[in-house]
Amino acid sequence: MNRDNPISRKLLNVTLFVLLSPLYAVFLFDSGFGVIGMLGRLVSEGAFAFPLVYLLLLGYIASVIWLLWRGKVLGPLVILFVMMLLQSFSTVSGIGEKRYELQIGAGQPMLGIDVYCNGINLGQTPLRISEAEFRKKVTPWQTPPKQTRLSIEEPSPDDIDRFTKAKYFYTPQDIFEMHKAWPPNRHRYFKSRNKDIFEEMSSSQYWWHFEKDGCLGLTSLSNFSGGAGGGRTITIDVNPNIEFPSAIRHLGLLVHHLANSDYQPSPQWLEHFLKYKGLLFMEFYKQAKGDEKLQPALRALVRAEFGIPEEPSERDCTRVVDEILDRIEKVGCFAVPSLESLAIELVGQDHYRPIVDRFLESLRAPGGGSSGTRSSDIWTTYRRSGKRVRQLPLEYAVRKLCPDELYNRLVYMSRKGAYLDIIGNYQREESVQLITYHLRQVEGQGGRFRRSGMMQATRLCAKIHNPELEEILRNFIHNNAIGRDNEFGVREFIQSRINTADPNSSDMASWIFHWAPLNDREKLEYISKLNTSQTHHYLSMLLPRGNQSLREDVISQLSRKPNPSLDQFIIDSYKWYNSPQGPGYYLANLTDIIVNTNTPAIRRFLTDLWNKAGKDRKTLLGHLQHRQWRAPNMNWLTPLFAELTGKDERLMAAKILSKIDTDDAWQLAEKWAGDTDPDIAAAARQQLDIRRNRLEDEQQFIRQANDLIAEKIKPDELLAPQPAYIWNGKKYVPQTQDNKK
Amino acid sequence: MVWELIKLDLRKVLTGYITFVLVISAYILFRQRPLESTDTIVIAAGLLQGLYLAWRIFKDPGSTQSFIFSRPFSRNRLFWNRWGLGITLQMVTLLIVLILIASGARDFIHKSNLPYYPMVQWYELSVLWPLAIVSLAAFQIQMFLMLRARTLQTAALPKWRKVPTYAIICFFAFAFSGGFHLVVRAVSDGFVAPIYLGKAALFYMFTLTVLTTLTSVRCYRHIEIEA
Repeated sequence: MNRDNPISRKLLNVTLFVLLSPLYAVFLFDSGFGVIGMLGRLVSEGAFAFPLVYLLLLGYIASVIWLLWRGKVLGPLVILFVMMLLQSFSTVSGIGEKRYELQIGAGQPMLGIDVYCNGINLGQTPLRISEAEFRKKVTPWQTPPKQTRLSIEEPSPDDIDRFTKAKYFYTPQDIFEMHKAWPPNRHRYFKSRNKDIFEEMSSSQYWWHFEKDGCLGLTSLSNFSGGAGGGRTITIDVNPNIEFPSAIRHLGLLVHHLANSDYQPSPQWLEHFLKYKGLLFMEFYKQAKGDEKLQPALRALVRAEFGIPEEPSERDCTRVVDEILDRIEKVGCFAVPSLESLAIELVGQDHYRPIVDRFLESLRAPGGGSSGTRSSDIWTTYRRSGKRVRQLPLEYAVRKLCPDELYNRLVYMSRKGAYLDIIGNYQREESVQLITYHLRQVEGQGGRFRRSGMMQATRLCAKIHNPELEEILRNFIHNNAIGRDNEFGVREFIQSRINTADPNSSDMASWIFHWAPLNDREKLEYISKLNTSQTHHYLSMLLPRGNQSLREDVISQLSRKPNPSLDQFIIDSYKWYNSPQGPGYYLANLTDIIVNTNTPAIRRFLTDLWNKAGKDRKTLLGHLQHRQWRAPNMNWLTPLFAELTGKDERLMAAKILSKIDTDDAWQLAEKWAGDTDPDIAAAARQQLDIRRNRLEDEQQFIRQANDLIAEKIKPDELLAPQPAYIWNGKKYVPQTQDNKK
Repeated sequence: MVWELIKLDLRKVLTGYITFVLVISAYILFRQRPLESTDTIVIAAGLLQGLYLAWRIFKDPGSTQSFIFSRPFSRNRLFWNRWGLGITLQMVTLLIVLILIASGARDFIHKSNLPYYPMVQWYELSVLWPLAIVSLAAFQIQMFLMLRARTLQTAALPKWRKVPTYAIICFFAFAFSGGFHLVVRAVSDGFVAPIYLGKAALFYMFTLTVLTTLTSVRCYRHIEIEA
């Protein structure tokens, strides 16, 4: 450049610098490529990396000065080259320790559980703690602690369900040690018998226990180890099965109190429930789902939790939506069902505009990060990292409400496969075309992406509930969702249909029987869950003669959840097991099912059986007498009992009266209490004692419920007293006066 | 405005520009997926348009240079005419793309085979933002680098010195992609409104445009012309 040229070199250099400033910013801040991130990684490599760190910093500063002073762009070029080298060095290098982080309870619907290890409170779930911090906070214990509560049951020899038979207050586990040893020491951690577990306990130094809202939690060893991700930082994700023993009775008392007040919750009841909402909500939700009378209380709980008036204004809705989003962001996950999921649905029905606005705002959150889902038949927990977690309740609400304002936007965003599950739920012709187009594309996909594309599409089908699309979805599942990869998706699809199926429609049963890509055992499992006129027809076609294993699977399923449409199957099964060639061992289970399946066919069958007299009647009475049940619907048996004349039969019948538990049954008991036969009179008086005890229990129940709500007693005080267990050097034994010292 | 100068510059740029507009229009019309703000082809097209316009408008081959600079109007006027022409042509491109999308032409062509129409029609306008930003940035950077090179007389350097200079220009392209990295991260996926641009990216674009333009004016004033 001519020296006489008056153009300022400095201006040119500054412009060059501004031009290159994004490059410098990226060099400095980018998470994978930037100086700062790289310095962090290099420092963790050890002392040898320090010269490199200085070199890097000096090079960075020198290149800036060189550029500003002389206008040379060689500096940034060099530093770019050096950084690329260092990045590959820090990625490829295997030097340096792996870091372990423990995450507890992040995939469970119940959050906010206090986590203790060796008596130190580490925080609440979802808890995240590094190994270094854990070791710093927690001092090892040399002997197993006293167990204030313990539930041990030896598993049967063929029981493959490990560790579930013993539940501890203090649970032994060194999770870090388990994951650091690779391959894991199976001998130490995969015991199937309590005796073998006890042997290892003496060497356990870390003992965990859990509490929530002052209630103790019991944990089995199952699920007390978790999956761990790869890379330099390993996250051990642990979701232990925590059970709060007082919660069931606690809820029982509250529901009883509610029933006594005509299912209208008082403010004190609501306040008390919400204080223990984490412990009680899920179980109460399950009960409310099967009992319409509890629904108003559930709605009242949601309204009380978020202060939602009966007729909320748009401002109320905005406040509630914001509160829900803040809560979700704080815990990092969103559970369905939860008070939050019910609340956002409730306010959305009145004013959905705030949800639409927040949904659009939430889309601006930067992408990337991790996400995950954990679910059972009842609940699903969704997780997303960072601000994106705020999208979860909004997506849930949009899926439920399908607001028209969002449709076009969702369609535009679905071009890369996102939000198709929401679009599919809009009952519009465009949605049918879009989903069909997407599924066709997946079907036509080849190569390495086909497998994952098919799995995603199968799971997408499960999330769509649209009558106009149902046939297309079913055809897709039938034609494509084949093989082990899609097994989970197919089950999810069918379960979602069963959960929402029209009880009078045999359409789903027909589809499962003819077209579902399942084996016979799986088809039986799902068909026997459907309460339709065709269920028995398909079931009998799927059950080959002589295959007792399949029949017994169905019986086990029915004993957990009776299905009135299968009454004929129950009758046939009872006849078979009661026949001379029948094995007989399922008769007890079948008796339970019969008691709980109160259909005309069952009554006719029992009456016929009764009328035959002799052995059949006695067998039936024997089973009814020995099983635990309480069913006023069996009151039709009472007049039949009254007509009995044989002593043995009357004696057996007398022992059943308290199970029937109706006025007629008690009148008969009172009559028989004055019977001339002393055995029958004694049996009848025993039944009347049971009634008296029940009435006393009822009074105690009411007292306890009132005391609970008035905060006079704590939930754990409802538990029956149990001796503490102490370690005798070999195993846990109940604490007595002798060994107390 | 100096019409003679504009006509001269248009003659230099028009053939390539029309070809470019035809190509981008064809792409916009016949692209088989909904258009989006991260469309690589559109970004590349914006980059090429900016580079091409700056290169053709501000490069005066051979004796043209002394002829133009000897005309009876100031160098400032000369610069602003050329800069204005470049910006206007970029805006014309945007206008054409806007008309093509807003007229529903894509809807008409694709509605039979793509189920996204007509729902996505207005959202496809989001393609205008990367086109505008990339094209403007490329135009400004190319203009600044060319004028800087002419001011510093690097063109007169021996061939062995030119090779590193070309390498540096390639590096600028990379630097620009670094800047664009920020812009792309700031533009939310699939939105039309500019409010979704990150504040940092907007500030960068503004500073870049102002600074390169003002520096280029100064360069233009002090370019040494050989007779």
